[in-house]
Amino acid sequence: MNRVFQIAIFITLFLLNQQCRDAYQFDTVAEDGLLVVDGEINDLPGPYLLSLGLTNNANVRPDPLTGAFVAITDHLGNTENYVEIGGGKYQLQGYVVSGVAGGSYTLKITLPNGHYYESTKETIPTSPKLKDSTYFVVVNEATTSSEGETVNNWRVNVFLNTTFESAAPGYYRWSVEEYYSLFPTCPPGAISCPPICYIHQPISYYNLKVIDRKSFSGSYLKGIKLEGRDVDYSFATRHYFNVYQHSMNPGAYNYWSKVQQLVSKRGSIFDAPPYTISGNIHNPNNPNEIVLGYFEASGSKVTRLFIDRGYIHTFVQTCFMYLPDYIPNTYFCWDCTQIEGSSIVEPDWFWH
Amino acid sequence: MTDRTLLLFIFFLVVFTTLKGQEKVDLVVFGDSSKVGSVKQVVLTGTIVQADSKTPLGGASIFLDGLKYGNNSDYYGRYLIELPPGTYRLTVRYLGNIPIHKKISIFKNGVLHFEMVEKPKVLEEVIISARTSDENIKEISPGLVQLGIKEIKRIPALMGEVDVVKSLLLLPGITTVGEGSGGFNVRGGATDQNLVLMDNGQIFNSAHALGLFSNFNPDVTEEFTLYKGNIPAQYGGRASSVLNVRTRDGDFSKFHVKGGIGFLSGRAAVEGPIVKDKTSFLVGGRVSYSDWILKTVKNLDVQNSSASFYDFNANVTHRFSSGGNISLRYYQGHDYFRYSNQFGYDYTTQLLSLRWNALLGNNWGSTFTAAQGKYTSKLFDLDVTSAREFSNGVSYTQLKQNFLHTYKEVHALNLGVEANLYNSLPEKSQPYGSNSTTTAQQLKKSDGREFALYANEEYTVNSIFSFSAGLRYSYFQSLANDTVYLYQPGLSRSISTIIDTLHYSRGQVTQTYGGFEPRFSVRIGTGKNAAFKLAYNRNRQYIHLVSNTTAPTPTDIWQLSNSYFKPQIADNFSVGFFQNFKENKFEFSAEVFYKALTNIVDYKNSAQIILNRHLETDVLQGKGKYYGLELYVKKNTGYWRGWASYTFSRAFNQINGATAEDKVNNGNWYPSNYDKPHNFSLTASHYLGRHMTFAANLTYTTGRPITAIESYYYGNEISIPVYSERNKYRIPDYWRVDISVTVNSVFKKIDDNLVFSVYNFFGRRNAYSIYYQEIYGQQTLQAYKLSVLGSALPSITYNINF
Repeated sequence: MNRVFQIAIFITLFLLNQQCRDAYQFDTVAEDGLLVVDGEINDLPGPYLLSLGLTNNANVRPDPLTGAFVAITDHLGNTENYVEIGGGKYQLQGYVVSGVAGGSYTLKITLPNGHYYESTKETIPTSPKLKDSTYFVVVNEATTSSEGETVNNWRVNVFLNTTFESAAPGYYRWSVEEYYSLFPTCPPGAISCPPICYIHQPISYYNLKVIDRKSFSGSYLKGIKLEGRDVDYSFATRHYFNVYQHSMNPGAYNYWSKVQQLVSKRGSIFDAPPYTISGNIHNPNNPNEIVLGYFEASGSKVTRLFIDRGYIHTFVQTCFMYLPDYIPNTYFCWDCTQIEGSSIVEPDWFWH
Repeated sequence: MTDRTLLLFIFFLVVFTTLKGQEKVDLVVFGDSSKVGSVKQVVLTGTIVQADSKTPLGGASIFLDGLKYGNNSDYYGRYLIELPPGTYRLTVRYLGNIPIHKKISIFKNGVLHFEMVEKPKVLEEVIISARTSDENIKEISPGLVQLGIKEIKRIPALMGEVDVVKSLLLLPGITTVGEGSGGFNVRGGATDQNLVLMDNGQIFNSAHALGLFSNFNPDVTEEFTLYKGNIPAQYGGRASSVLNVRTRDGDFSKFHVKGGIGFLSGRAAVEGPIVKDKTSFLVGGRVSYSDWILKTVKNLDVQNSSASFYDFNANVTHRFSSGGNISLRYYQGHDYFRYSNQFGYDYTTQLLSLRWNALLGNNWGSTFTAAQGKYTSKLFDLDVTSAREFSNGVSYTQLKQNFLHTYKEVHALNLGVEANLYNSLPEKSQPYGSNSTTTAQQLKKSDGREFALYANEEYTVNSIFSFSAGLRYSYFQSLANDTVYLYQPGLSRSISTIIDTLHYSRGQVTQTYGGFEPRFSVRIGTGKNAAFKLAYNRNRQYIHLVSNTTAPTPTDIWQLSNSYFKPQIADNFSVGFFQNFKENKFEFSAEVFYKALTNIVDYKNSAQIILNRHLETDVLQGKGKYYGLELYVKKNTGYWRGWASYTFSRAFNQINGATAEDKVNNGNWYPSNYDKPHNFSLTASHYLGRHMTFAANLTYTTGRPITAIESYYYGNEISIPVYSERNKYRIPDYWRVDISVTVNSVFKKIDDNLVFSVYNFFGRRNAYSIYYQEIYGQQTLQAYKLSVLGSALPSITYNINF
């Protein structure tokens, strides 16, 4: 009997170690051509950007929508037109209409086909900005891979401490982007080396942190993890984490908290059924038309934090390193401008 | 030996054994034959009980040999036979028990009690059911499922745990969202539309381990009945079905110990007399110890998780010499589940019930039930800075008085009154741990009182025609606990459309609902072993499970009807044909059902359920239509036994409010979360010898509806998915095979067995749900098929009874 038990226990352990999830491909059929609006006006100096697109089931990013007429009207009745700068992007210079706390703004869009859309009136909140301090921790961290297995990686985790300087109500959102420089490979004897690139990218397409001041009793929040980033070549020189704090009005909070809920809780078997989030743009002539995205009026501030190779206690591969036995085989080491979000224009704060 | 000699020998042998048998039949005399006079009819009454436990045996047959005349005992084990004065030979039969033969000479009314003894456990008696073999034909109501715990012990069980709810899922018309989800769905209905009773007290969460097991301990459970077609008027308060689980009385004459031990859990039960033949007790419990298995899984989060449960039953029963009995029963079940350092659940069910059965003369019986129940749950959100503990629950007091009048086997009238006093426990959110900076919140909930009067008559006109007709009147009062918001008419309810706030003192009646609930079913015999049945039921439901997830969760909120939550009303129609073949060796049934519901509950997108002071702004009510065909074939005897069932059914909802926000899918009909068109199951067992049984299940269902990502857009460099209409797609179909081998009498002279079982034998990774997860650096989410039990699960359970 003992042998039977031993075999059974072995089989149990063996089988239980199998994973319980598998990648799955849905055959979905989507409705193309939904208008997507993504723009912001804030209390920082302009210009302010706006993107227009049409959803495309075959592509991740919406198709850029060009040729639209976009204007903004503020609470004083001033109107300024956006200027199309290509790729479905439109820019507001802020000569006539600029973002100020307490100001209200309405966006008006006319598409090349004549369809007209407008946003609800959005107000930049006057709620006090929070005092942020950010820090990073470099860890060799065990994480669960996409295959469900435990793997160890060196990671840089970015944390936030913030202080509420008053009990005044307010809604806040943080987002993080990274900025790093890349020195391309320059073989010995080259007449000229390729230019240094400054690469600006979102770290994650799904991380954001949204809070409602009244949900917290204390005067500060400590140790909020904002992002985690695997260590790679991008840490060879300065690697910035720019943490944006947005103070939001209730409408924007409602929208972004729904986004946070939708994109952050996808693993529990008890998640609420998902849905498409409605924004604040509508077609007055067709109220049932689904318009995606949000035009936001917010108060903004940025906190920058940088790290370089000196803080990382592991080998960091670089493009710059050129050794006879080591030839970087990554294409962007030879031409770093091919990296998405890359520019050879140095941000004025980068080396200061 | 010549033929004549042989015949003579056989003749004498028959005569001898017959005479020998005749000697064993006791003669009981009532009255004096010389004093009969003009009496033409006398009445013989009495009770039929189990010898060991003194449990009344309802449905036992008592017949006069040779006359084909007799009767069945009622729920209280009582019988009554009218017969002319004379001498007769009586036979009392109850399945699984040794028949009793009595010779009586009766010349005046008499009382005769019978105590039946279980047959020794030989192979053919492994299945012991309280039902007669043609009960499915004789029963008036379609859609009735009645199983004894010994019957379901033959079904291969997950991790060796025999389970009431899992066995129901093998029957037509009953499904579940998937492994790991609590509750079950009957004919397309939601889980909260099932009234689950344990000893007549309501159970609000019948799931252990998030639904992998139910909270009915097989060592303590006697039998269970599921009403899904015609619900008698004695029951009410839910729209779809009633599952009535009865726990056992302890043995009145001997002490017994039962137990079992498996990989995940162990259980034990002790029972015996407190006062021999008068008072008995039964104490049973189960406890799990599954964390060691979680530690063996590669996934780090699972390794850091914890899951456990226990439950406990204690029953004391006293039998009165007058024939009645009184029993006090207590149940407590507790679950704890923590997923890594992310979240956890903790929930507890408590139920104390008192039942008093009394005989009021020859034809009347009374059953008084009082129950006090409480369900509490906690959710732990373990995020460092916003860690909090959320708790909620509901408690109730239930009083019910039922009178039963029976006459022979032709008439049974139930009359009664019932009251349920619900008390919603406040929803609370409190900081969890010293680092949490969240604020404490509390939300008072409205209470409610539900009353009902009912009468239900079952009448057998003749062997062909019988009917059951009932009427229930229910009345509900919503009792204020705080405030009621008023909203601007014509607009979707939201915070911005609140126009007034009414303040009430606690207990003040703010809203009442009520109405009649007719129940009717007819049986028309169409042959010796065939019947055609039809039924119509109306049910009203005043308590709703508010759950914005596909599967019910322990922290879902039980919401009583109030000014905005109207009662759910279900009209259930069903028609069925039932036929048995070859002396009831085979059963066949085909049933068609249609269910129309009003005020079903669904939710706005992004509905906020927890701590919502104006829940009505996020909840929508609408219509449902569920219909289907159920086929069932069962083989009752022989070396191969089992059944096959197939159900084709559809379940659609429509939420078509006045404004765009109050519609789902533009107000069109859409598949409900429980819409699974095809559902097939096959259960078979085979005797491999005197000590061994092999059993297997095969289950197939269509995947349930799901809402899927169709495309993406970007907002502030966040990739935001665009989802389809609600429930537009489906998860992959589900199928599973389970097997088990039971070895009886492992050790000599001990009543024990060893059960080897493999749940999900082919290790199929059936989808519980499809969910999406970010892949580092990618702009789209990857869809994953989540399998709660993604591998074969073997188990060994050792059971002992002494």
